[in-house]
Parts: sequence; C-alpha cells; structure tokens
Amino acid sequence: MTAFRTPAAPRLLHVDVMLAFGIVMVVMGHRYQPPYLFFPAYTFHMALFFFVSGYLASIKVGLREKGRFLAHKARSQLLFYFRWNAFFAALTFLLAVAGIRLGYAIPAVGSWADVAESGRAFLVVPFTDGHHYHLYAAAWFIPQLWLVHVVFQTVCFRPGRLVAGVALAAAVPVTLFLLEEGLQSYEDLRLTGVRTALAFLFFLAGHTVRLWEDRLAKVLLAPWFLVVAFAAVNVIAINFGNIRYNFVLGNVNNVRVWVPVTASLLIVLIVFQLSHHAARFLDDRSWVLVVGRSTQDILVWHFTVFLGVNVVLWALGLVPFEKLSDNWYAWEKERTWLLYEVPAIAVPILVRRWWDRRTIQVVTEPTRARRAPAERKAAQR
Amino acid sequence: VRHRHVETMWGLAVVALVMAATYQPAFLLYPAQAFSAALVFFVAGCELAMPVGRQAPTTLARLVVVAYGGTALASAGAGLLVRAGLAPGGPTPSFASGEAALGAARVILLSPLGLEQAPALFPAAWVLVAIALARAVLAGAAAVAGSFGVAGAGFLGALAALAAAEPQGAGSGGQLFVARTAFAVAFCALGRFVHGVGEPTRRRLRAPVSLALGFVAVDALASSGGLRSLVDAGALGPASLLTMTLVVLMASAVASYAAEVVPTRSALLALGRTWVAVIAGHAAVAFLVELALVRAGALPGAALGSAVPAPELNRFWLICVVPALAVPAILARAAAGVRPPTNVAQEEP
Repeated sequence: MTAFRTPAAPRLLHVDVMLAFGIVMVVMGHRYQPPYLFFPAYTFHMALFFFVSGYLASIKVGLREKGRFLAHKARSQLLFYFRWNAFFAALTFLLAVAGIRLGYAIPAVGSWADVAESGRAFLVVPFTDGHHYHLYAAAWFIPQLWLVHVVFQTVCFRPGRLVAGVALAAAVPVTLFLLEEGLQSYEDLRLTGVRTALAFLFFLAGHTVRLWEDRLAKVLLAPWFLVVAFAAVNVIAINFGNIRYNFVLGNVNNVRVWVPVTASLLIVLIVFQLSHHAARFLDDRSWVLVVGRSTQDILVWHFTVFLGVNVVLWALGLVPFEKLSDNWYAWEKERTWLLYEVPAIAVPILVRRWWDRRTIQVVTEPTRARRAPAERKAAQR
Repeated sequence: VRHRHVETMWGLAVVALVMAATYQPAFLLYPAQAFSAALVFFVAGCELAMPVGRQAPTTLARLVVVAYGGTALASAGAGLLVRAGLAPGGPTPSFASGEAALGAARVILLSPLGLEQAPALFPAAWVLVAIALARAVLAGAAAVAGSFGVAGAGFLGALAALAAAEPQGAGSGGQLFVARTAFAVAFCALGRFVHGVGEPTRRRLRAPVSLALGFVAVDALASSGGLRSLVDAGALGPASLLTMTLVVLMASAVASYAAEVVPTRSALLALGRTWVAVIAGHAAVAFLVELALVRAGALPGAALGSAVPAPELNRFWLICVVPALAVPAILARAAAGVRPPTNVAQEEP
C-alpha cells in the first residue's frame, strides 16, 4: 500500500540538533558513555527531551480544541506506543520460548491469573516504570509525554506568557514536594505522579523559554551564559552532592531534590545554546540533522539492535548465551561501544528510509510563488 | 591584524593552561594537563610570520632574547619573594656566600630554559622561552628555505625524533630542555602548517564527522595512556604525542566555530590578546588567593606551594581560577592602555 505525504513543514534546525544530541546520549546512557564526553547522560538526557517537547508545544484555546488536540496526541502517541507494545509483547514471548528472557512481565497464557497479569503488564505498566518488555524499555517516554500534554493543556487553560509563567512558578514547589516523596522509590501509580510532575516542570520550562525567546535569547545564547552555567553545574555537583538520577524511577537520589533538577536545567540550557550555534554551521543534509529527525525510531529500536549485536557476538563465540537475556550486557564495552552504538543509531534510520521509500510518495504541491504566474496568466486570458 | 580564530584559540589555550596549573572542573572534557602545553605551542605557530631579508637574524635574536630576558627577570623576582618568605616552595636563592650566589644565579639563568627547577610562582617560564625558541627555529628554517613548507616536515621530524627517543622524564637538565624544545617546535610547526592550509582542507578538518572521528580516536588512545602526558617533566610517548596532535586539531576546529560566535568584546578574546601576561602571572595570583583562603581558615597551610592542588581547593576552584585568569589580563590591558580590538580591521574590510 502506498501512503501519501505532503512536503514537511520547515523545521527548527537547532531543535533537530538538540534531539540528535539527546538521542545519542540515550543510546550512550543505555550502553557506554566515553568518560570525556560532556556531562553524564543520566544528569540531563530525558529532561532535555521534555524541554524540547515543551519548546514545541502550543496551548489550545477552548475545551473542544483542547479535547481534539489531546485525541490527536492519543492517536499519534498512545496508539503508536501500544501498537509497538503489542509487537514487543509478541517478540518478548517468542524470545522467551527460544530461551532469551527479556522482561519481567513476559506474556503468559497458562492460567487466567497469568492472562490477567499479562494484560495488566501490557496496559498499566507502560504508565508506571514501562520496563515490562526490556527491548521496549526506552519507549516509556511516549505515554509519559502524553500524560504531560494532558496536564499541560489542563493547567495552562489559555495561551499567553502570564499563564505559562504562573504555571511554572506554581509547578516548582509542587514538583519539589513530590520529588521528596519520590525518594521513597515508588513502584506503583504514585511513581507516575512523581514522574509526571518532574517531566511537566521541564516541559513547562521549555515552553516558557519559547514564549520569552525574544528577550531570553540575549542571555541564553550569550557565550558568558555558557561559562556561567557550566561553572554553576560544577559548583553544585561539588558542594551539594549527586546530580545523576534515573528519570523513569522518579527518584533523584539526592535528599536536596533541587540539586539534580537545577543541574539538569542548566545542562539543558547549555545544550540549547550549543545547538543554536551548531545549527548555524551545519549543512542542511548533515548526518546530525538526520539523527535528530529519526529520534523516535532510534528510541524504539536501539535495544533491539543491541540484542542483534549480542546475537552476532554469541554466534562468533564471544558472548555466552545466558547473557542474551541481559538487556544491559555489552561485551567489553569500554573497547567495543562503537560496535553497539553506531548500529543502534544507523540501523533504525536506514530501515526507516528503506520503508519510506517503499511505502510513501511525497506529493509536491506548487508553492505560492510558483502558482502566482500561472494565476496571472489565467487572469490575463 | 591578528586573526579572530587565533585570538579565540589563544583564549582557549590559556584557560586550559591555567586550569592545568590550578584546578580543573569535573566535567570539562579532557584533562587540561594532557594537552594545554601542546595547544599553546600550536597557537604560537599559527601566528608565526616569516622574517624578511637582513632583518631575519635580528628579528629571531630579539624574539629569543626578549622572552629569555623577561622570564629570567621574572624568575629572579619570584626567587626573591621566596627568599623573603612571601612565596611558597621552589629554589631559594641565597647570597650569603659566593657559592650560594652562584647557585642563585644558576636558578635565575637556567630555570627559564628548564635546566633548573623554576620558582613556584613562575612555573610556566619554560613555556614562554620555548615558544620563542620554537618560533625562532621555524622562522629561521623558513627564511632559509624561502617558504613555510618546511613547517609540515618540521612537525613530522620533531615528532618522529620525540617518539623514537620516548623521553621518560628527566626531571631537569639537558635532556629535559631538548625534549621540551623539540616538543615546542613540533607543535609550532603543526600550527603553522594547519594555519596555512587551503579552504577545502580547513573545511574538512572542522567538519562534524572529523570531530566525531577525532573524539573516538582520542578515546581509544586514552586507554593506552594517551591522556597521561607529562610535558612539564619531558615524559612523552608516541601515544601521548598522537593524542595531543588530535586534541589540538579538534580544539582548532572548535575554536573556528567559536570565533564566529563570540562577540568582539568577549572575555575569551580579551584573554587571547593578553596571553603572555596570563601565562606569566596566573600562578602568582592563584597563590595570593590560596594564601587568603589559608588565612581565612578555609584551607590547610600545607596546601600552599604544593605541587598537587589540595583536595580542599576543589570547593573553591572558581574563586581560584577566575582571578588567575582575569587579574593578569586586566593588568596587561591597563598597562598597554585602551586600544581598539585587534580584529576591527578584519571585520570591516
């Protein structure tokens, strides 16, 4: 079947660079990050994605418009997520049959209790830790983003700087309170609440930056801000303890909960500035932009590619079979990280390109500039 | 007119040098000790001009004499401060006897060449002299050959000699002097060579893929000890030389981007314009800050004058590094008077 797609709208290049940087950090965070590459991925990478989502978000006017928008998001995010969730449920089941157990909720149909548990894992766990099928673990971000959109459209009842500013000011104490609760490492739906608050904070920060960009750009894009933010992160890390945390667990691993949050925000702003500058110099067909535009595919597939690499290494006799059941296992990762990470980024991009070439035909419409002379001629006739 | 790119690189180089000497924050890419000296020599080579005709010998001699004389005088001053008990560690000149005075003179005259241990307040003396020597050697060779084509060959030759000798750190003495000078010549030559390449090569060098490959290569070399360079002590292996070459090329690429982003009145460019003062003065300023911290009870007295920065200093790195960079730069600007930025002509041709 051939689908049709109109030419894509112009993209914000610096956003593509930010996404590229973020997804490379996700892949590195899940495998191996070289010691001299920027800040550790687990200090900022998921915060960066929520920031970018908020940066691109817009507040809809009126309940009907908001409802329509959230329904559209449910189709493009939730439906997307659960479609692939079903695929990975089947894949996880088949792999388990083959002796490779990847997930703590491997689908089972032995008894009604098994079926009920499998259904719960399929429908509910995506909104808690989302790690029920290990190969699909990274996609927890997608349903979480939908929840954030719901909160965003509810809290920010109408567009405008004032509403967003007030919402951000209110979100800060609420999030800090919930993060203190999150230190107890919840594993049920309370985790969803804590994580949604944290994600919403970064989302709203991104949205506020977008709304005030005309004034904030002078500060956020100034080289001195880069130095100050970098120094501040270092000072915070030295004097106030840990800044690394696992976003999905809702536990920031520091009793001073403001420390990792502030560090994350500063690092995200550093990336924001660097991406702005990089976008000025990158060619429109640069591989950096290609990676940034393929974020979703890489997010969904990179663990599967990791498994593929491990299977090849197992076939070569370098990896024991039982290690294939460990999603985070990598063979001598300090030396072989490129062997995992380059395919994890490249394969989803190449597969998507191949698939698009087969199934999608881009419909080009005459642009307004091209149409104008034709219309003039028609008028003359 | 100095190139804005070169000024930016000077800024980055002195920041790296000062951080290597004082304190480096945790998340700042590679350890500054591993590449700062190489970067300084690389930039020094970038702005190397060929002396013309009969002026050549005079120019070259002046280059060395001014650098050596200046550093020897500064060494003497630093030594006297040690003697007066106002500065930490290092050799203490004494004039109590003829032999002691001879020893003091040896320190003053030979420490700028790295043949004697430099006073703690002026540890980078050898860098300034080595820059002058390397520039003189390269410019002399270029004047004889008639072009700077010798720079590439000079780099490869000096690098091959160093890699073959693989000096393991002589501490002081002739071998250290030779190793450091050869090292300076190599990276000066590399800087001159890279600065002179055409636009297509320049574009290839700064392409994102080149940066990514450079990063991956350095990461691989780091596991072979490539980032444990001890240039100060003259310990240089092939892995560290290759690593430094890659790192300075990456720094050059990053600086070329940064040069197009930083404003004309940026602090980075200001540091780049006053690099001599910053290299010469940072240790003295850092010492004064540490002294103030010791007096305030924030640091133990043993931290003063120690070759290795005290762990307690980590908490105060910002108030140590910033004055060490800013004070010499501000003093140098004040001494030189207010001048328009050097790149005005380049921006408004």
